[in-house]
Amino acid sequence: MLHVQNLRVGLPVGGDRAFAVEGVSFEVRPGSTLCLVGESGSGKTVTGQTVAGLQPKLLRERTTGIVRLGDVELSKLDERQWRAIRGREIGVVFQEPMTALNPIMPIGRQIAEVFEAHGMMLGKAQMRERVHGLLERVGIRDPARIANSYSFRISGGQRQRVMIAMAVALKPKLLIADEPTTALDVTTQAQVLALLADLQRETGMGILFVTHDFGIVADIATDVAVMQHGHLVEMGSKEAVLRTPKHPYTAKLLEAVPRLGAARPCAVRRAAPLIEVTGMCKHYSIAEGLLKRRRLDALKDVSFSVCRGEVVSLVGESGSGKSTIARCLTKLIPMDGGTIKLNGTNLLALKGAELKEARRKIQIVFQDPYGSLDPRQKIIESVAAGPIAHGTPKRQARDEAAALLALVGLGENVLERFPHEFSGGQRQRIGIARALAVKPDLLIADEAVSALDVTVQAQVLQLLADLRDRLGLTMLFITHDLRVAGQVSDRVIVLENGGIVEEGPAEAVFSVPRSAYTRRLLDSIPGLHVISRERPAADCRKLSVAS
Amino acid sequence: MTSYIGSRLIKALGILIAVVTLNFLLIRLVPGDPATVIAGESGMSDPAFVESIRRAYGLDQPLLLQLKTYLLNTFTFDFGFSYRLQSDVISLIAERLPATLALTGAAFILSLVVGVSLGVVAGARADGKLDLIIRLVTLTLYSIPVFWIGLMLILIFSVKLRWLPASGTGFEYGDGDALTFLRHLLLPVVTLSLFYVAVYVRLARTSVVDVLHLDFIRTARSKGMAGGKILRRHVLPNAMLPILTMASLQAGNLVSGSIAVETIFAWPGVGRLGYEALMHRDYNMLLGVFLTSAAMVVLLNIVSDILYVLVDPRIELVK
Repeated sequence: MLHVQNLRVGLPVGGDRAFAVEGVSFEVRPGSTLCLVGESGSGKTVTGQTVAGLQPKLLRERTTGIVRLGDVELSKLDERQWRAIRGREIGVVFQEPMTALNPIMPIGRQIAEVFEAHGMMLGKAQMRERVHGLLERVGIRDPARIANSYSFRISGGQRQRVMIAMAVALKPKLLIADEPTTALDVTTQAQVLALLADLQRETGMGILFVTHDFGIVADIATDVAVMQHGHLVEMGSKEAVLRTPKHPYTAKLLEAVPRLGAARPCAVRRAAPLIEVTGMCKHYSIAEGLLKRRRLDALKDVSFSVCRGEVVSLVGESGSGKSTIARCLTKLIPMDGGTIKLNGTNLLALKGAELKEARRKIQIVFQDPYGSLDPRQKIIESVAAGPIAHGTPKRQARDEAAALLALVGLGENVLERFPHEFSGGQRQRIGIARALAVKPDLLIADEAVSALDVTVQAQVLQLLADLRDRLGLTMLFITHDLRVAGQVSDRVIVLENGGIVEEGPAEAVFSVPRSAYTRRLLDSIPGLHVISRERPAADCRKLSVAS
Repeated sequence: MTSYIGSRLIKALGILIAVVTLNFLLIRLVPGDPATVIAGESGMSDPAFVESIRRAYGLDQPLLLQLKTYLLNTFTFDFGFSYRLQSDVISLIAERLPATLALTGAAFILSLVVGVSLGVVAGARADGKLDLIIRLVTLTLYSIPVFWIGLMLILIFSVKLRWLPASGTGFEYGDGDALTFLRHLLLPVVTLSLFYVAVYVRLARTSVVDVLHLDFIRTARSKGMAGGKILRRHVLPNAMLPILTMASLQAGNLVSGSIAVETIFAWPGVGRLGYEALMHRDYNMLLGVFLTSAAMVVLLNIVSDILYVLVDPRIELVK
């Protein structure tokens, strides 16, 4: 149905390579799913965009090769002809549903536009019926309300369902899904993947699915194409590629997928608690409509402790309260009830110099390695800023910062560079060095590896494990990815709707979960049963700093 | 919503009292005595006469007492008496306001419509030929002083071509009609608009270019929508916020008029009234003009804050 032959997309002069995509050929059959797998910069997204004719103008002029959908030679279409194809023959679902929807237009109108764009001028009541029907089909329970809502008032899962409703509205032959579940948590991801499979069975559409996650591949793919640096390095049926990868790059990607069973065997004995949280509460007041407000309980009576040298993971879906705990612990936001004790001292009673000292002891590494570094500050300055603020002489702070950057695997030649000169994984290393610079007692990693590619993710996780062993670091690891939690933590705390539903040693929680919610989270892990069989658990003692 | 507007109006009242107080005190800091100016205008410099004027206008009272009297009077819309023009300040302003509003209102609409349209066209074809031309022209307009544009327009259209009148409103002798008025209005309106056209073009262009790069534009294209429709439905509404901010700033000047344009075209508006009051130390007149214009700015701020919410549902009204 879709034939791509010798596709080549040139990059403008001055790019880091001459081609974004070079000599790529594949096909997608009706009713089948081809997963395009690769890390960021591999050219998978550009390939998907080019098939839909949505690549940036600068790249369009540099595109050659044949792209054919049925009998239509897409590569020869002009913009007018393309418009008749997009939406009708090819539907597209993008990665980030928050930005892919117009924030100031009601959802229903955005869906109706698909019909209007293809000349279906329905009456108001008829259109409403069509839109509501579509929303219902993609599993939205209250279609009338959602149709009248704006995108920022609905959940991430609902937003992606809306995007899918738009993409499949006219029953296209081909659906291009570009990392459609990367921004979602694990249970929502499982639901969205199930929905796509369901729609595929119903309409017989072919799906070109772009992803970096082999777990997803294991769940949904019929065929797999692996891309590296713009080239297609391996292609075959799912079974063949997953079981007997031929290309070393494919093997490396498979190796890097985090495994649930890899919880560290060298668990520490429970020492005295470093941090003790009792009855932590937090509520927000949420706007509804122009002036109405509603109370949202983000944390309800949460109590837990973390011992010295221990790594504890907080897991749960988005909205479960994980990040709110991190923000309350670092006093970035005030709590509405409860106490926090650090080394036995009440954190909330501290003021002035004592509070400043306590703040030093708890450091955080944020999720977004792009947004959390000052773009105009050299990295040595970013890392040294904390110690200088806490009174370390400037020269000493810079020396220590340089040593720390070396510790996280960044050499001396990078000290004077700016953040934009680094890759995502390198930036996250800088973020870790920045947090460690003030010699904290507790390091909080708030979704610190979620934005990273799987191989980079594996490297950063190794780095954290190594730092923990070398420095005896205590860590609170916040993640929605249970596989990651399994790999790094001694103990796991499972959160649902702002409360703790289960707590215990990582191995116990993952092998014999007591609560139904934990079981549901575990069942939602993509590709769990296919991938986890294939590699023995890693021993943390073997891990070392990789650059 | 009503409670929001209520609380904003109460705050606005506080702001206006502060503005009046500040203006009142600042004006008294300026060297020079209004009593001597009034006496001078009537050709007398006898100290006894000056003193009688001072008493007659209450200028011999302590400053704070004068302020209190003034503040209390403004609550009843009594802005005092103009020494120079021998008339109530409020009726003088009311008399001049229509001419000013016609000038500034027409310029407001013209510059908004023309500026935003050109800006959107330029933004949609960013870095094309048309964009380059529009940017060059507006940059030129932006950098030429308003009075020079006014003088050049008079030179070309009134003096050389004799197409349009150079001054007044056409109603000076009580015999004007709508068409005459429009002919008189044209040159001053264009003069006043050109600067704002340039501002709106630049603002709208930047804003459109920013929005065109957002993800939901790509989504709209993936639905098969045509370029023009995407521009109207998705780009323009999202690009409106900065334009709205600028429009509310410009609208704030609606009642204070433009001193330069009104002077060049002998336009009998509030701007000239204020300017003359300043030159002749006509304190009450000046304070009246200041107060009217401050009230307008404060009021339009409330209006634009409410408009923000209507344009962008993500913005919340917080009391």
